[in-house]
Amino acid sequence: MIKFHFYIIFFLLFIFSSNANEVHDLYRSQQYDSVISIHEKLISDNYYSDILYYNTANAYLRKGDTIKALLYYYKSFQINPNLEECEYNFRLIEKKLLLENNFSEQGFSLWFKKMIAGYSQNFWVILFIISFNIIFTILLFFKFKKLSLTSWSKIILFFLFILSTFSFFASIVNDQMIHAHPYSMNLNTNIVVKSEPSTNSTDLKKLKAGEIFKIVDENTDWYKITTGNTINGWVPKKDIVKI
Amino acid sequence: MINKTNYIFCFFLLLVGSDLVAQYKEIEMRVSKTNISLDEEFTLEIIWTKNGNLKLPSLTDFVVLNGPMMSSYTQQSNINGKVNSITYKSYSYLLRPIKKGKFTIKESKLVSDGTTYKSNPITISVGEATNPNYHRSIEPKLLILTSKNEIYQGEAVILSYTIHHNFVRAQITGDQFPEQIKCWKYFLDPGINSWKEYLTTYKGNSYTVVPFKKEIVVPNQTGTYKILPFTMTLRGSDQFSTNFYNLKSDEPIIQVKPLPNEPDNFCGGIGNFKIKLKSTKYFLNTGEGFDLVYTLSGKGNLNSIQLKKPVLPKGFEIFDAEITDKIKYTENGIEGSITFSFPIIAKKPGKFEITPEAISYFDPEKKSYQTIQAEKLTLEITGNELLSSNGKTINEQDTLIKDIKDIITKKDIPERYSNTIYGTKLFFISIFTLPFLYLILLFKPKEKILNQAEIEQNLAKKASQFATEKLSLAQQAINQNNYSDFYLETHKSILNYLNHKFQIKSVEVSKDNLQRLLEQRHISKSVIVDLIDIIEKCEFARYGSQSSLGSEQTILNRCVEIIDILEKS
Repeated sequence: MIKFHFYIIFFLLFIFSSNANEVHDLYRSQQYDSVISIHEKLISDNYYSDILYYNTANAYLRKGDTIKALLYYYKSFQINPNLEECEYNFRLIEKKLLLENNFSEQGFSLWFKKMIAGYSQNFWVILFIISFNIIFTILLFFKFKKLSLTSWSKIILFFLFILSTFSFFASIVNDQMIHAHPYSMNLNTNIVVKSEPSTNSTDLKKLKAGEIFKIVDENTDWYKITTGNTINGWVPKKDIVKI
Repeated sequence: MINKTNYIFCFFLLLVGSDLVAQYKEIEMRVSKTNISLDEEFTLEIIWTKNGNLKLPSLTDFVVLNGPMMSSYTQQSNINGKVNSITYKSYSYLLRPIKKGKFTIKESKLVSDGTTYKSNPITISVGEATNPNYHRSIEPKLLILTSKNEIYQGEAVILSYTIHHNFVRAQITGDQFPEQIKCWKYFLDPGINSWKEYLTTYKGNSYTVVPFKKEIVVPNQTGTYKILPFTMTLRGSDQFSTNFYNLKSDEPIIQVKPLPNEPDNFCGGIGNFKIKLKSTKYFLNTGEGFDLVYTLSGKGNLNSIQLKKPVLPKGFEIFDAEITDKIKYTENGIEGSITFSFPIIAKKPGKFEITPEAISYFDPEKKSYQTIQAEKLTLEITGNELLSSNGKTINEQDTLIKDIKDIITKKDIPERYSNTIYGTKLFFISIFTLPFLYLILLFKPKEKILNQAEIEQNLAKKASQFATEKLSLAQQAINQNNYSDFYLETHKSILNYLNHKFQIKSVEVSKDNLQRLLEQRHISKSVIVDLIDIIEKCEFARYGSQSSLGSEQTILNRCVEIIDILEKS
């Protein structure tokens, strides 16, 4: 069974990577359901890429499911803020649906994430391992030879230290961008934010479909959320999906 | 600070004190006045002459302004040459009545030597206050005032958290306001000034009403809605005293009635509203956008009103409304206006009459649903009809799709979450191996520097090992009758032995040298002679013409014996 499963994934990956054109042809021939099912199968098997999410979003949009499209645009942007097409599309949808996105990152934080997302996570990990090991190779060499460190070697060690520290943090941030789900989204229309985790509690705000927020607490059936405008309230878990 | 009253009180005490001298009883009670007005004070004195246990009367009908103050006086008298001494003791109170009427101060008791003495009870009549400006505090009250006691579901009620008091000065030392539950609520802000105080009469008493907080509450359940009480600690002062009060407010109840059967076009509004409709453009071209603006104004729950997308004739693309409001939350309730602005794109030319749909709201005053409708408006659109590539009229989704950026067709191989090196065993091995090695090197103990004696000891150890090895080779040479090798090995073994054991170098090995150096090390002469003899024989055999001198086994045995002796020396 596992073997069979493996073959299917291999086949899908094969279609997607080597013969990506075939998926694109399906898209061009307006077979959006087929495109979505191929992409979602890969996603459910823990595959990810900014373009995979982006193209899934476009297929959903063409199919007419704007909210699902928005979800996949956000997912794509989450792992790669450099994808300009993605940002353009979801900003356009936000504008059309009159959604306020209060969680847009700006300034240094966005610049840093863009730079890190420019390379894969393994790139940063390998860069860290190499620079870190070169530092200790130099140190071991001097130790074996019973020599004291020269000024040149000190300068090289300093730069290698900077490089390894930076690549280490970059790999952590990249890991978070891929694995952490800081935001959540409402797929359903007419979700009401309640003051307490109970259907009898006070209505605080109506959440539009596609509105994003942060989860700050949870219990069995409810999430406590903040929408960035100091609205803290509870929403039922069943209507919420993590980006 | 002693006020006037206290001066009068002290003066009165002096007068009473002098009066004590005149007569005596075991125990007696006196008051300065029995008929007083409500704004008057009087003194009560309890005087006794015997030692014992005193039981004081209850004074709950009066306010104790001062006391009890104790004083004593001893009177001596000489009657027919007999000297008598009586000590008068007294407790004095300064009292003030609380209300009008007749009040009895019960008798005081003195138990002395098993006998109980009782004083007289005193009745005080309290009449109307004589001073028109007289002011005295009564118990303050915390009250939550509600704008209505019976409302419809969705209707707002204004709560005012107040204190009713008549102090000259009141100071709040602590308060706790509850958060009303199961409702929508909005706290009203009095702005820079606090809420205005006013006078009122409540249960026959006149009070100053101080509102502390006001909030608009819309209960979200029907039936009996109980307002949660608030508590307050208060320090109130009047002309005479200052008292602390721990107060809890009442818990008013509001009856929330359900709305009658809602009509289909009910917009959720409860109150009294008007509706207006206007367009941002009345003459436009196809493809041009404009807004249909519905404005609802009036008094009521404007914040809960929802307007459906208007149904327009074909040829218009309508988007979700942008909602803006100008809602004021005041002591009079919720009022203002809310605007629903629907962005629309005109796609078909023609003259269109927009007839707005009628909507209804519930009027709690009239207790019925009211229907309102905005006036019609006419739009004139010119130009060509907008069509999509397949000839159909472009709809909302199509315009969105038209604007978005399309799929990315560049080759992309998705990564798998589990394919990352980060956090794997390989990751940890690759980052910890070299630092671990470095640490080992860093903490490795340094080689020990041997001293001369230890070096010599080591050399001596090596000497015996080397000699034993060489002599075993020599023995092999004898066995093989290879005498030249025998002498070679024996010679080497002796020279090396001497070198390592006694640091006598090969070049120093001469008969005289050897004798002197070994004698210095206390080696017996016979051994030295035998050793020199063996060395000479070896040299003779190695460098001479004769390969065998005979008795090689004897030489070897003697050599072993000598090395044994030297080892033990």
